[in-house]
Amino acid sequence: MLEAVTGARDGRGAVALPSGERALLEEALRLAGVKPPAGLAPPDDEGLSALPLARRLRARTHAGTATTPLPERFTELAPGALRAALLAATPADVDAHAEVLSGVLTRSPYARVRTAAALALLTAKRGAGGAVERTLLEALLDPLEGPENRALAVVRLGEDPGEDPQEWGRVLAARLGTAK
Amino acid sequence: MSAPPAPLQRLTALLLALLVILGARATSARGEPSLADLRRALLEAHGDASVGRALDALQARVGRVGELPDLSAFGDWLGALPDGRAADPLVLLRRGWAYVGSKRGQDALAPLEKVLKDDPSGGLVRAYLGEALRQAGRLADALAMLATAVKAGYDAPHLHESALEAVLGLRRDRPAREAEGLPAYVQAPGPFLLVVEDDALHATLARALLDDLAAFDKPDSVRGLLWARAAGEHAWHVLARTDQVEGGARLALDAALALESADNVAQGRTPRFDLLARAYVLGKPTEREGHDLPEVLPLLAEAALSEGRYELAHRLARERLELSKSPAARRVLLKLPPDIGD
Repeated sequence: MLEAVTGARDGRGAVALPSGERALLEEALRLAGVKPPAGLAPPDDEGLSALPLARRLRARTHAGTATTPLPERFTELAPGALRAALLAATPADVDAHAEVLSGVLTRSPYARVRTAAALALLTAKRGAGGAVERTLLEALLDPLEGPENRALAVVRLGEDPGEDPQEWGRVLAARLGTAK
Repeated sequence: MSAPPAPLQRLTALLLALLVILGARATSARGEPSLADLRRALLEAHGDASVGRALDALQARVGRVGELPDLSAFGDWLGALPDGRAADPLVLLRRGWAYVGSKRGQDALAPLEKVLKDDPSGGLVRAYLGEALRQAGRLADALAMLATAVKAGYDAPHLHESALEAVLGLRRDRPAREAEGLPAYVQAPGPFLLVVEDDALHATLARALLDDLAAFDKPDSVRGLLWARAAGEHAWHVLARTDQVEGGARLALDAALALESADNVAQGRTPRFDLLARAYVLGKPTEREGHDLPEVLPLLAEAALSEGRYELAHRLARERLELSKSPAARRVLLKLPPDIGD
């Protein structure tokens, strides 16, 4: 695939492609389980109309539990891209931006972004004064995104607390160190 | 109903006068002070508490004595008090209130402005003045004054009603089709909405903008983009806070539809996805299968697709296809990566 697009087996010349094409190539390689050559990934801005950042991040975390660093100025991202960036964030990045993420968690007008911030903070075992637990318990009951939110939380917890919200509360509190 | 003939009108007036006289006598007969006594008590009152009690006693006679048939007359009566009593702040405030209560906003302005000049901290006075300004036709000034009432710590249902009426009045007086940018009825309540949560006003603004957008413009014109953004923000502001919005699902869907071009221009920086999600939740019946607004499902699936949320897009498209045929939902399924769904 790389050779077909760039004309070279090792992908030399891929970095000279327009950003949109590099993003598409990176996605295709990652979904196929092939590590892209260094320098192929375009900057993590949203100026690639062919391929939104959320979709690029999905490809990067496609296989298993991979994480990616938060883009620079991540709080300026559109809600969908910010959600994706938060879900893909590394625990170290979450620690480094814990205060900003707590602000996103409590102040974003978008439930999906607040939920993603809570999941990111859960990854780093940060409770934000109980706000992570409250946000996640609410997110589990969301009629539209509840199933997806639950699956994302289960991956981060490493266990499925089941259908009982009280059990979820207990498990989350234990994980976040907020249990009384 | 036709007006009664002139002789009958005269007879009615005579009977009313007789009833007022009999009422006054009956009042005296019950041992209550006469209007003259109450007037004297007000003129001789010292201190706010005493003046307030005297005014309350007088107000209780409105509609029961000939001299004070209604609030309008009560306001005039207070304005004619001698010995500087008419200029007492409590008397001025009661007079302003009486005029506002009788829809004489223009007459209420002077007494209320005088009270406010003496004590600018009064939130209640500002609220009355806001309504007086509204009645006087100064609608933008009314909204600005109501905002200052809230800033001064006063909030009450009548204040929100005044704001809503002012907005509706502005929409009537300064039609959106003549606006270069946002219509006056959207701009004027800005300061008010910065200091107070008013779900009804946000919902009204969103609906009005969507109606005006449909009537006078297109969502992809420069002005249309502006209106759609504002409609989306007002709709989202209220729908993010509460489910208790009449026609909330429809409002969410209409706002999301209007936002399509604006969302493309802003690269997803509008609440379009969230409005569609709200329309999905609010339009899902609890008692039966299906959806009240099935068109929401493929739209939301498409929005999920554009955010790389393929599992969600797949689930929504499938849910729509279970209801009936839907080319839009099928298009979503065809755009999904091969690792998603069936």
